[in-house]
Amino acid sequence: MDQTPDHSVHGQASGAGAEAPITLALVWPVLLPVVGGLVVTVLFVLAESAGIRPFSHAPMTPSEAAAAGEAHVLVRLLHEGARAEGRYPVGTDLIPGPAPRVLTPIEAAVIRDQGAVARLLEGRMLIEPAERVRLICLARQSGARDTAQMLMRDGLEVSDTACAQARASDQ
Amino acid sequence: MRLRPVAAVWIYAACAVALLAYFLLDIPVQLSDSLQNIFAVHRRTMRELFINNLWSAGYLRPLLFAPIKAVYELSSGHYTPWFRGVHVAQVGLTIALFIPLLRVRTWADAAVAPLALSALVAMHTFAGTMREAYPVNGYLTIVDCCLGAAVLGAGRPRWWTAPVALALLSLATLTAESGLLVWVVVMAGFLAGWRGIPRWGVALLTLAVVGYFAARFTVFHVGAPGFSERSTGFGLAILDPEQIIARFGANPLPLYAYNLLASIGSVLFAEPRAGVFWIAKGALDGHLQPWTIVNLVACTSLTLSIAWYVWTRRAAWFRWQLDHGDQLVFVCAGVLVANATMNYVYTKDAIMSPAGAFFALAGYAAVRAWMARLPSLTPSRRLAATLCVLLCASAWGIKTMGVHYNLRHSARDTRWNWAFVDEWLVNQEITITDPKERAIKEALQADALWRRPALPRIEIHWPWPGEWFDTSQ
Repeated sequence: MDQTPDHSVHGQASGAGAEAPITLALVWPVLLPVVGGLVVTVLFVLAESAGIRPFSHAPMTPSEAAAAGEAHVLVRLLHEGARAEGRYPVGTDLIPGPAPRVLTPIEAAVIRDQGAVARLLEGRMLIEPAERVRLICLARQSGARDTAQMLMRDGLEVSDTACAQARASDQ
Repeated sequence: MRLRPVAAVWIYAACAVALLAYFLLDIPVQLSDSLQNIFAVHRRTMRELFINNLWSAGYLRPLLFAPIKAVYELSSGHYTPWFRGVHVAQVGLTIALFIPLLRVRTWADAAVAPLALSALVAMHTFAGTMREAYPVNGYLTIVDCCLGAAVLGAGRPRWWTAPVALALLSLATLTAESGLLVWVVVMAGFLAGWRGIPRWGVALLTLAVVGYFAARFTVFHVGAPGFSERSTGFGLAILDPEQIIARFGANPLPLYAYNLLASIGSVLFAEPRAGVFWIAKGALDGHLQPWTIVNLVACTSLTLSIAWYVWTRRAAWFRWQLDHGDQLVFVCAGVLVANATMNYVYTKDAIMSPAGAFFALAGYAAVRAWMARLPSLTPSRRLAATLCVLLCASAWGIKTMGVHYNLRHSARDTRWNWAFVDEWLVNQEITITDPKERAIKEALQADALWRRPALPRIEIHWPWPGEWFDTSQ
């Protein structure tokens, strides 16, 4: 019932066995893991509130949001004034390379095979036929088969020759 | 001023609730399962909602929409803070009703209470009820009613306990069928020696249950849900309705028996989950997930503790001289079997949430008794026992952190869904013509996407891989 000066904890056992004083040395195995888990989570929340985010990845640009598949972040950034057709840097953690690439959100989504995000962007912008072919080729080049398939709907066929021509005109 | 053990537990619980609230309030109102329900309460009066749900085939849930309607009207257009606030309040109420049942008197009790709270909150049957709301979580309503009935039963008898218990039974039962568990709690508690609800009160509740069944089958002709309405897990796979009919159409009894046993196993051993044996499936597929082992260790260790506890108390059980710990175990057994029986048609973790809550209480009683035994053991046995307790508590500690991790992921997933709301409406063949409904949709969408920006997604890699957290719950 009472905490004794030597940190013993006494209690009336509910059930089995006679009551004997048990000490903190005995209760730590039951206490430490769960209370420790709570403390770790509290520390995480405090750190997060202070702007320290060790386990978090927050996309900063619309193209990064598209590459990461964070459709909700992308929609928010577009709502706040970003342009779906604009070109924004994408960190090398999202699209590996020697330096951050500057891409449109739909290019970033296509390269990372984020088909749903590409579809979302497709509904918010007008894609000219030549641009669509270029995106399909980009998807194929990036191994983003599902996204390429999604962009090729309505019976659009894009041959390897067309992709080669698109690449040549890009260069 | 000296801190009392029970006060320490309340402080700990308040911290736990505050932490859960931080993560829960970050989750927007869900798109699926919520938007249409909000439209439904907008279109109809409380009376219409009540009456319409008296005649649904297979389900008698006239109060299911009542809290949604009430919160909708009270919110005055501030839907997200109200609905999410109510969800937090429900979780807080669950914990507030749970603590008195622990009967914390000593520091030894207080030392085990965090494990019990962990087992309540991180139990896979309960965690699912936190991640989803419709947008008011009916499963949590039922858990709260069951715990409320237990608090009344285990407390001192007063003139108002029986009427309040009857109100809880009515609210729970008319919200969903598993609300009948309120009666199971009262009856099991009474048989075990709880006298907070007097004999006449128990009889009154029993009459109410008889009246419920009579009304269900003879007045409203609701019947029971068909066994082929939903998918359900079976063995290593999930069967869709067509497969269920093909396999069990002629004789559904094996499926019913499987669902009953699977539901019991789900609480006691965390396997199978919703009818599927995930560990066996993972082992066979070569993708055994660490979280399945954590779940198995957490639940099985508590189950073994309870079994040990009952064995050591067998003499008292044979004499039927049950103390509070025994009573918790007995009520848990009753709720577990009754809850599993209600899952005979299909199994789902969230439906087992009342059984999960009482499992946490029974586990508390067992571990508390286990701790009391430690000082009398020889050093080698004490070391072995200490390691067992450490393993059990560690598993629950991981699961508890996983709850917060999952809530953050839920927040992200819910926001992601809102980014595709227009596509979803087309797929669901929903056309919004009412300007008020359009305003509701736009308000919820704005809250989810730009009015309340998302907290960053948590990505945990080695040495704490996310695979240790049960993201299926």
